[in-house]
Amino acid sequence: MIDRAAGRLSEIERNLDVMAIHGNGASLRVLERAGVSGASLVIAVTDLDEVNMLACMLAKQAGAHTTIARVRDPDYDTDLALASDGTYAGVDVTINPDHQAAVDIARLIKNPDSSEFDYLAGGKVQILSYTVEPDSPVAHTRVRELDIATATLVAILRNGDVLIPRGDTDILPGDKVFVVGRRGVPSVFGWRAGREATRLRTVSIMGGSSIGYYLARAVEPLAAHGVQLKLFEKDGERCRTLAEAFPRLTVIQGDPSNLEVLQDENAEGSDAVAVVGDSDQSNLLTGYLLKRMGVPRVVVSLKRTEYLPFTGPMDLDGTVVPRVSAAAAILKIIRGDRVLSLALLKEARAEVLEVLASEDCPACGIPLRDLGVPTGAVIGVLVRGGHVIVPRGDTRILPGDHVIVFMVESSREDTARLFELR
Amino acid sequence: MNVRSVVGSVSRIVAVFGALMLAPVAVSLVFGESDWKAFLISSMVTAAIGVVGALLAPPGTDQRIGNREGMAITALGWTACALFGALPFLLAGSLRTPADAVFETMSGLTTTGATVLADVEAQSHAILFWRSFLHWLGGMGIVVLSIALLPGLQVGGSQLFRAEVPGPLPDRLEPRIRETARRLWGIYILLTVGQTVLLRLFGMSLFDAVTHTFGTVATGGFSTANKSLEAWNSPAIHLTVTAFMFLAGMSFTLHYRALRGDLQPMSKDDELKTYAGIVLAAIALISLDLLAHSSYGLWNTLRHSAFQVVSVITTTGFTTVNYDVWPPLSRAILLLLMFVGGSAGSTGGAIKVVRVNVLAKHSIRELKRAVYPRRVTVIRLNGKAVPEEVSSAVLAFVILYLSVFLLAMLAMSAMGLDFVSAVGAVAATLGNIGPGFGLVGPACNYSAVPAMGKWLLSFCMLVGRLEVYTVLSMLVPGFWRRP
Repeated sequence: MIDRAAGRLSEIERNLDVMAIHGNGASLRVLERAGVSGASLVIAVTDLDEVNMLACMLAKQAGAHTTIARVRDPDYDTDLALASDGTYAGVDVTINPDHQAAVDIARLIKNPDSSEFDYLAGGKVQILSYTVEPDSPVAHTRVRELDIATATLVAILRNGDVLIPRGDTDILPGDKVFVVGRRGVPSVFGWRAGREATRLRTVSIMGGSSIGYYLARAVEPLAAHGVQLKLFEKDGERCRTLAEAFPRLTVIQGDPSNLEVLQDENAEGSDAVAVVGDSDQSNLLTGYLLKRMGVPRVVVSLKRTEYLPFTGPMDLDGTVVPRVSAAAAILKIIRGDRVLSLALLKEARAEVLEVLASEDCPACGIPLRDLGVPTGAVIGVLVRGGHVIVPRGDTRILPGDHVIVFMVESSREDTARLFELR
Repeated sequence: MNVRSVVGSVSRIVAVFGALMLAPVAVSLVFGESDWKAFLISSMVTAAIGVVGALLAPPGTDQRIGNREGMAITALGWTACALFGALPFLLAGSLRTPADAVFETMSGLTTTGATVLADVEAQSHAILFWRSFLHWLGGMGIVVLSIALLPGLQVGGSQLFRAEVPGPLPDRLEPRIRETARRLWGIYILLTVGQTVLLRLFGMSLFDAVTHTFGTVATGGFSTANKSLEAWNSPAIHLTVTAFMFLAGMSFTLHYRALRGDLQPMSKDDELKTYAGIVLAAIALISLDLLAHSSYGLWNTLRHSAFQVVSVITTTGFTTVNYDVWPPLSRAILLLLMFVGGSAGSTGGAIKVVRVNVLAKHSIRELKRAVYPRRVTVIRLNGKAVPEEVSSAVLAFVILYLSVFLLAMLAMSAMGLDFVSAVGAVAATLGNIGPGFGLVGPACNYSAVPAMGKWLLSFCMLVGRLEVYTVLSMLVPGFWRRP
């Protein structure tokens, strides 16, 4: 760990098992002192994009294996999108938490029935989570009675605890279920009484800082389909910047946590609202307020994961934590070459991995029921030759398969051994 | 204020202007007329004063030309040229009073085309050429010409450039201002040659073709005939002049890009769309009005309405008919067009289409803001956001322009002009059009205006040509002081 703040470093050295080096991370001498030439991974996440990119380029030249830089400025972000292989020379991976979070929010807005949503295996496999309503047809049924052929129920979140479902587990109202399956999972879980799939007519964004900017960019194409886009932002200068950048966006100067502003500009008439302000507390309150006002779908961004348990009781439809969104990108690299993609389920504190089964992988060739999958891990689906297979007890994993594995944190080491991961 | 560099730069502009006065000497000799002496003497006097001034104020160590110096050089340079350019008219005896001679010269330089000569056809070739040549010099700008020709004006040239070239957002074609000035003059000369050839082909004499081309590409309006282009009853000539007036009213930046094969900016330019839209709408309305109230017939209605509309909006001022006898609606439309003017970066005068464009967008936005006070919207031109400073500068420009118009109109009324004539005279000189309405309509001229009125209208022409700020800012008390 290299940092310029000596005080922070000693605190970190006390609390974490890392070596702390005081100095400028973009200086070659400091990097060499940290042994960067033999490093397998260098992560540069200072507040300055340029420092991060320079540190990565230097580290790469000095012989580091993989480099990751945090890049947040929209200018560089656009450059990257245009670069031939999607990145700058010397920087293997760039992460942009706010951009990643905005992409996640846009996905949640466009898919109105799920509160967590991600794609794996090039879009063939979906991860979804639903809250089971009391009048849902799956309430009070046993897992083995579920009639789903294209998906696997991988976990149930009940009262904050993660349950790994077995055949005799009952599904209760209020449970949050996590499903991994073929794209277009049967909506049997997503069924909610009295709530029809809403066509998006108006989407509002509360807050125009970095996430708001990227979100506006992500949803702007919707305007071509007749969706009205509104963005609320307190700061006048920032409003002008956003209005200049996005011609189709209606920019409203006003505090999104001010009830009068929301009523004057008919925020409650929106079909979906993303609350992406800078303060977690005011995001939660604004989100709650909008939900009370009758907005069908409210997604909130939070900086800290501590507040996640409150989002359920507050009836918010989805949450995004930029740090978690970015962490998925970093974890994927740390887990090694065999992990093809990775999604983080923040509420269940679990990961969903897409793993490539190697020639000599210990899990291959054994029927799943005899494999001894660690407790806390579930084999979701297999992707073989482009087809999604929902496994049964007698299914065998073959070399070359893409295995979608759900695992909670505690079972990570056992699962890693099974697939020879790092 | 860096007085030395102001005096030096103005002197050098005057010296160039003196040298240019030799052109009518040549014309006079070719046609075997006797007034070449008047031009030669004027040229010598002007050039001598310019050279002496330049020697008295050589480029010193402090060559800085700031914003204020740029405006002072431009405004004083134009005034000096208008005064020296009046000499030949007085010496040759075609005009008797200084008021008349300066009015005629200013009208030429500012590409207005308002004349005090009752009988143009009685003038010598040299005098007629000199009038049209003044148009041609003033159209692209004597300062821009000096930047292109003289080495000493490069430092701070962009300040001078901005003070003279019309429009709220001047484009640079090239990184160096001198190269930009040369490119602009290149396009200008190209248009001039093209139109001269066409007019000659359609039966005009070479002399008439050249003088009318000068009047067209500079959007000036001086003719060699008392009845302007009505004297040539040729549809081909009228159409050619209409087309080149329209081209001269377009931004020269667009011409430059188009000549380099890049037609993209031209096809997407908001100002050009608005300009073409206004022209077409005005032609349609006036044609309908004329069909209902006059007896031109369909073809002639279209020809005359198109010519008059383009002539007025580009602030040229040529005529093919006396529009002052047209029905009230048509005359009202022409009066409105006098305020619109050509595009920014063209040789046309008045408020300019782009400012009208921004003004309209600004007004609509303010109207919307009354309904939704919290909404933040951006005014866009060609897809790009217009900075708030620019749109408020546009607003201030329009207000200043109209204020000058109203004050000058009051003054003209005080001198005894009737209402229609006062409105027409001020609108036509401030907008650099030429013929107005009533007493100063296309069938008449400005000789009936009292001397004091001629001085005032000359001032209006300068204010209009240099886009209000350059001249009026010199009246601000702090302008001449050291900051």
